[in-house]
Amino acid sequence: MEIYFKKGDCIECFECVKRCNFLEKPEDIFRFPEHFECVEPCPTGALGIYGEKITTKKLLEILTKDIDYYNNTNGGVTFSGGEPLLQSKAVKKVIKKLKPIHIAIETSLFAPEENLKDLLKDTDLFIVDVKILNHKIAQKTLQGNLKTFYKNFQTIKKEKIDTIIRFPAVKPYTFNKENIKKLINFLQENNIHHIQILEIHKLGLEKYKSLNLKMKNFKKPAKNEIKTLKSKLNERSIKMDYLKI
Amino acid sequence: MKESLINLLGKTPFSPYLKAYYTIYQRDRSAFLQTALRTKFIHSRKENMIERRVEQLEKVCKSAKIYFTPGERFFYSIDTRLHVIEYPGYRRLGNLTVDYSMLLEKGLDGIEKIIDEKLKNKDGYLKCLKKSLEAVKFYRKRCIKESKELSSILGKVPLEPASSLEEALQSILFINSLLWMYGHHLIGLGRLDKILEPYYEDYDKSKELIKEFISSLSKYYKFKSNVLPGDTGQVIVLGGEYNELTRIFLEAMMELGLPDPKIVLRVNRNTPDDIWELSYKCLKKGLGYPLFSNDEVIIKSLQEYYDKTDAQDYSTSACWEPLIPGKSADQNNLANINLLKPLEHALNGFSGSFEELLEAYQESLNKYIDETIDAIESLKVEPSPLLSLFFPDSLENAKDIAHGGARYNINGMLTVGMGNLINSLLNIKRLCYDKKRIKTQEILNILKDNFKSYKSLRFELENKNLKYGMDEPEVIKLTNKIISMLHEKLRGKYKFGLSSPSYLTEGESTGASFDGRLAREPLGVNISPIKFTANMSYTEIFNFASELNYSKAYNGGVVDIIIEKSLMDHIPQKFIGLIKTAIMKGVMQIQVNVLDPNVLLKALKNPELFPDLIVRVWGFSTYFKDLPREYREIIVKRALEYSKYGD
Ligand code: SF4
Repeated sequence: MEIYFKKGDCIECFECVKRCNFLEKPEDIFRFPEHFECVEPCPTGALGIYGEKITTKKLLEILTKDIDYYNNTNGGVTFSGGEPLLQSKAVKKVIKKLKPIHIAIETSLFAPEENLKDLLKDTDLFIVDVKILNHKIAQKTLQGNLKTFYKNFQTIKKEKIDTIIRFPAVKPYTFNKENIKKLINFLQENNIHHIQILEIHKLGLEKYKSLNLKMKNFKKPAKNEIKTLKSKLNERSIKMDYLKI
Repeated sequence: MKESLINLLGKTPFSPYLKAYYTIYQRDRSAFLQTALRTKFIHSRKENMIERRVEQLEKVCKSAKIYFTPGERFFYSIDTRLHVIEYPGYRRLGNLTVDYSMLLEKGLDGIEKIIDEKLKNKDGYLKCLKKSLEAVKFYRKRCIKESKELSSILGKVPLEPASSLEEALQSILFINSLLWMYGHHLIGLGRLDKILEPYYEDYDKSKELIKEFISSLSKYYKFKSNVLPGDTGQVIVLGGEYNELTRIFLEAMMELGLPDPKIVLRVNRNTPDDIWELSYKCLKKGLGYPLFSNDEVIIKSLQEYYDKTDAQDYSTSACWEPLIPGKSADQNNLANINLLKPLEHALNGFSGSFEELLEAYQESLNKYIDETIDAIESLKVEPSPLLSLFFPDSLENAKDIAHGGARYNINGMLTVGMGNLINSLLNIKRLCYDKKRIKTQEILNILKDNFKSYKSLRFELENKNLKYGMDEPEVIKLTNKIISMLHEKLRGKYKFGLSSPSYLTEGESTGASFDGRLAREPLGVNISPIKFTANMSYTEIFNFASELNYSKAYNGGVVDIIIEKSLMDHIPQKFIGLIKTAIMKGVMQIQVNVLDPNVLLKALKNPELFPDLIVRVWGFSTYFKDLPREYREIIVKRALEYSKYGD
């Protein structure tokens, strides 16, 4: 759980300041990331909490409410970021109960192998986020060990579970010559013929701002760069979808 | 205010002309003078009201100008200058559907035979019916004399039974045009796919004819519009049972892309896949119809008053309120109960527990309903021998449908502001009882102040807490409790529903409310959340709506959702699955607006640049550009909420 503050929604009523002795203005909340109760009196939702602690029981209750809709629309449940593998025990409990509904897990695969093994049996689809394929940079930027990633990926492959590869196109972090080359190698080595490229989206940007995280200056690739990538991939008979969110 | 003035005029023995002028003024202020000058008033000085109405019909049939353009497939002429005067103290019937199947099977001659046989032993009203029928026949004669071509188009209808699809359609159009000229508004067409089934020819030919038929009906759009442009009440009800004509009507409407007439589609477990797909295509095109109507829920609920077989044949009045065509003279839309009003009274000087507050609410609701009923019942119903001709029971009983001649006479009311009421009550519960931050006695002051000195409170009321439309037991229970209160009071006399067109007008005359709504702001729309926010979803609204007690509240119950165009384009099967499931789970009716927020924003600035943009308001589709500004704004506002969160 994380406290956010959206300046645009603040009406400067200072209800938060009245509640909390440490605040002089709402922005100060970022200095007290554990003050979850001080967010409560905010009438507009300018101050709030991302994420929610929820028991598996409650989560199941919410998910099963819509079970008829999943069944009738070929829908299913996707567990996604944060990193579902880091809560594999809880996720396992929930998906066991949800079956036979289609279950997808979106993951970076940066998680201990045992965790992945918890979920192998009941997952119908892994959506694997591939971002940076240089060991050093991955470690530094994503705090992720690529060795783990590769190992986990092989495990999924062995089990023959459906997989979609997703790659966010962010300049310069992921969308650069070296990384693209590595990406293509990775796809070819693993005999993968389909990839989804994600356009970075504004939603994420707003969210970063509200958490007081400076998004480092990044850009989305130009149209022709995407086109070049596409033809490069197609030459190697890899189909590419460009998803905008 | 407008209402009371017209009632006042209705009650005084003032010159009927005054009321007529006022009605014209109300319907189109800008062109009032122009319209008033060219109007031809149809008046009668006869003492007896029924005779007076017969004479008015005779005058319509004698004086209506006949408009016919050679080369037309169908003849459909309405002399829009005619104004059939409505006499003070009376309320005119409208908003209903006659039994066209009787017309097609028997023809006017057959109907006359029924009357003649009865006339042998009785007198009085049947004579009036006979005279009315003769008047209609006289109008037909005039048409035939008009030109050879017209005469051959009419052929033997509507005198004799129809023997082909073309004749059937012409027969309906002929009578329909007279109903309009005789001053009845919001005239529905009933279950045309079922009525016309015996006359179905081959696919292509039938489709071509249906298209021409629809084009004819869409004429005189402005004249037929009631309060807002497009509000014509020309509803075609399809489905329930399905045949080739169901498909043809949907396809024809989609290809023509007109906002009028509108389609209500009856759906159930047997609705075929291709009908769902066609509906999806119509909606995707942005036409705003079909409105989906859940057979299972409605047929079961209707049996409170209606025979099962009749209930199975239900159609709807102008928006979505169920009735039985040709059998019920129900006026489903007689009054709007603004559910917020009684809360103001209940809070006045109130102190006590939350349960006591609900009791106080019920008491003041009852009073409010009594007043509403008094106002309605102070007016007599104006007879209509023309309508009665097409109500088989009326012929059988030799009684005008205004006097109980029809099989059913169960009038209905609409409620508005349920969402605002529920949110207000939930807020009162949270702040006054659970958190004890505010005393109930303070509420009225806060509302009178219109939140001027309570800004942050207003935001809190608007954004925090459980809300109407959430799939939460507490919300559902409270809503059903209010439904039960209404039912207890109205049972045996009136039906009521949960959707109403009056959210703007009633909002204008309602002070601030404890759901955070400012004075004069619109009330909530149908069974939809007051504000669609990040933590709501379509499935949540449908789950909520499926839990409501429609067996008590079935005079219209529409969940009104907006889907962004770009989303809709990509998800045909998911969309169909969503609606199907919602219906299966027991949602009563669903209306879908498919909108592109970018286009809407541009159109809001410059409506004339988007002459073909159609939107759905109340229960009808209309051109965006024709709507008054307030209505345009509310649609855009809602569309933006849904586009932000609606996926
Ligand atoms: S309570 Fe919310 S709206 Fe009021 S000052 Fe604090 S952050 Fe702004």
